[in-house]
Amino acid sequence: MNIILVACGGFIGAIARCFISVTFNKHVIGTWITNISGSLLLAWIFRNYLQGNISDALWLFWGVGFSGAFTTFSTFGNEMIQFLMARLYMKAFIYGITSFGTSLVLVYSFLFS
Amino acid sequence: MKQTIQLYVGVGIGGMVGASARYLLSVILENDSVYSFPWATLLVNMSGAFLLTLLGFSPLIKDKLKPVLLTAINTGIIGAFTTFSTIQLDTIQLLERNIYIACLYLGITIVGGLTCSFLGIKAAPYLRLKKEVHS
Repeated sequence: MNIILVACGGFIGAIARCFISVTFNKHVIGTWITNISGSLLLAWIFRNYLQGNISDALWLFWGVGFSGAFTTFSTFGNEMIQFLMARLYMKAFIYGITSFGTSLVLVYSFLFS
Repeated sequence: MKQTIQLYVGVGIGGMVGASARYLLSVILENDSVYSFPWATLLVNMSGAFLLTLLGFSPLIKDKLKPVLLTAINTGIIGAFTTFSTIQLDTIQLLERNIYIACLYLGITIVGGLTCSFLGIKAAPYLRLKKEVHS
């Protein structure tokens, strides 16, 4: 049962990510938006899950399934290595720092506010 | 229109497979100790980073697979298998317990992820069928 909830969340999450990257037409921007917004969503769900506002089923669907599939690390790594191999060090630095920095600050403030 | 629907359904089904695989691994590798380290997330992210560039840069895969199928595998399965949001959540949770472990985890994830992506690109040309059949 658990795995079905995760799978269904993953179904929507992957489609939503694909839709955003197609809409923005530039993959880096799409990945940037999904990764940061997905991290924020996961923090919000996790906080509510800890407080008992959200059931196990909703956590598996939205937290593990949707947020997990909506955000992606493999594409982030691919884009970063493309920048580095093209010697676009500044772009790689800004992309990496803003992706991780922004989401870490947002997740931290969401969990401890 | 038909192609667009095919693309999204393919990515969706891939997402189901990828997310389920990630969940299964996290259940198998679950560790309840206080200083539990997010091994499962690390494992999916490193292997996914390698596989994505391996398949994405392989001339063989491009030649043999339909573009819609390749997108279903790369964007769908591998994209959903790896996760970015859990890294952030895990790091903040580790930060609460031990700042060094949190920094270590973040460092391994970023350096390891870039290395795996790089290795995937380098390994891609070597991805060949064992027997090339000429007729």
